[in-house]
Amino acid sequence: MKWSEKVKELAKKALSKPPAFGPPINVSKFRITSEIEDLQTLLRKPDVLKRMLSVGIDVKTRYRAGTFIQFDEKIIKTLAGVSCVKILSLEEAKEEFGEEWLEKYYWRALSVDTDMFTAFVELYGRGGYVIIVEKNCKVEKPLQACLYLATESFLQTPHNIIVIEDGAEANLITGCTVGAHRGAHLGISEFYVGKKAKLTFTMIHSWGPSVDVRPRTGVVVDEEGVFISNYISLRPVNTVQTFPKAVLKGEKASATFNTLIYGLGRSFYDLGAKIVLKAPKTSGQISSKVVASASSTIISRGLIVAEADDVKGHYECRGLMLSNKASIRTIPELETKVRNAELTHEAAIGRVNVNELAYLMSRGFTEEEAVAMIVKGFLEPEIPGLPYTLKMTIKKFTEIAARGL
Amino acid sequence: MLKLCKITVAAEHSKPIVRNVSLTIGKGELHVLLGPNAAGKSTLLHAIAGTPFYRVISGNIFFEGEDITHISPFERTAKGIFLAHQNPPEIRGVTLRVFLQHLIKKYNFGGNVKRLLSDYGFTEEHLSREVNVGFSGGERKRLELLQAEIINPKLLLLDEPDSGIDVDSLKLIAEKINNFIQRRKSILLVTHRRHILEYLEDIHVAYVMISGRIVYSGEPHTVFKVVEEKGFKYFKHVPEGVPT
Repeated sequence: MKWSEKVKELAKKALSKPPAFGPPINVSKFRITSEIEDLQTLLRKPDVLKRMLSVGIDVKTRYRAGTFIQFDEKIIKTLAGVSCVKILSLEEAKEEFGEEWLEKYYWRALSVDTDMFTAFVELYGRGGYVIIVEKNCKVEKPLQACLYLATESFLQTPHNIIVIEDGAEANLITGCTVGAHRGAHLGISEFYVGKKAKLTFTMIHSWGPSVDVRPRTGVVVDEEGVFISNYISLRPVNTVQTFPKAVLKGEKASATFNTLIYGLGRSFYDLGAKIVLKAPKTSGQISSKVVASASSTIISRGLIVAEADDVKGHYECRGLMLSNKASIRTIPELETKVRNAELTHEAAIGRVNVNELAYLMSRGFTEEEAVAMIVKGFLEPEIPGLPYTLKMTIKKFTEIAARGL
Repeated sequence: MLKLCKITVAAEHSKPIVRNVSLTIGKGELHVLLGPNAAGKSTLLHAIAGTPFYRVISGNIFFEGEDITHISPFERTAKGIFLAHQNPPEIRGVTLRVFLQHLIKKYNFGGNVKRLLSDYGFTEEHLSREVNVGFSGGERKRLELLQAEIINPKLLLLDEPDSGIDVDSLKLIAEKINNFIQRRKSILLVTHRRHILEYLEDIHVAYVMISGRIVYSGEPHTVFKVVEEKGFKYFKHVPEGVPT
């Protein structure tokens, strides 16, 4: 049986398999037919562009190496003169590269039968991008992908595959946002980082208070490869649950997951990452900074598994509580199957320090202004190696969030 | 400028620390409050500044003729009262640059910020550090006074600006205090060391506070001499307000 047929079979069996974490979603309550008639008209609307810009997607700028936009399930893509990068839709990739390629990169970084959501996307999913950065190709300008939920009550189901070949380097910004009031997003992402390759993947989410989000992500990193993920969500959402898994299969590979969450309203977040240190001298870091306000709930998970010698892993979570109705929970897990692994974790959760607050108030700031300054400072990402424009995007984003207090 | 009428102050959940204190500070005057550790000097300054956790149990605080006993700390700052903290806290996550930008904007400071920074011994490198994180004692104290330059208050409450600093910082801070007085600012300075007093030019009155009460007030040099020779314990035996 061909691989593409086999995954379909596996998916059928897993269609009712409950997810390991997070509240269930009844996918049958959502629509899978889009109401969009003309993409170009949509792309000219100022409010649409503004929403996209708020998640780091700038279709007008020249400072992007390539762009992929998916409205509901409809796709627009452009590539700005970088010959060693390919951007395709998944459908195009399947057609162009055929079964051999699928066997290598399709449902290989995560299992199709992980849960009902992965299975659903395989059987009924539409859209998604394939980005291939060819061997030794170093793309300076970031690539960008936008997943936009436009139709009311739409269920968006893209499957993305990102391949960074040996020695290649790239930055990918993914912005996910919504024009509709209600909706759901099940996004599959598979990352393959080759030998001595590097990918910085920054995902900015700006959904709405009635949107449910279940990304499913798998990462495979080869020898001396570097994978850095930055996940930022500072606007309200109904529920988000995701637990990406990175397998470091080559020696000296590394993976970092940075998460920045600002829980607003009744938002529910269950986030984390799993890193499997499969090869010797690999290292992994999971780092979360979360702010819980109003009646939001934030669960931060981290699981690091050591399976080879001389590996290092660290999980940390810093939480700031702004409300008595909110909650933060951190769940660190470290597991080792070898003797010489160095695995550590630390977590600190608290409210805004009263002395800091009193001090700022003695400088003439109101309590709200003082809290906003501290929260903004807290959310300031300390992510080394981020490109300047990306830093500025994130900075602008945290400023908007802190102002919304 | 500032008038305290028989104020008694307690910290949260504690018995009174400052008892029945009255004093009056005029425009452009420098008053020095001396006293041993735990005499209640800092508590008095915090009560004037309106810091949360300090309660004025009885008496009144008047600033420019207005009763400010029960208004919020930021309103007091807006009226022109500034407190330089003895131990300013570290503000994690907030860089000095961002903090100063907020102050400059809030108080429409139009002066030369670069020159101000270098006058107070700060470099470009300090700007990207978090406020007070890893700052030396001298840097912390200098930063407090630097903020007063931006905020431009009418009354400065200086809580031991001379503790835990080296001699260069001490001279610089004394020079800046003299400069504030020349600009007709009013100052109430708290200390338990004599050293800084040698550098201050025009002290109007000195007070001695023991166990929350002002036990002596008068001509500064007489007071300093007695403190120098006999120590604070001498004042425990002197009835309030009686000169030696």
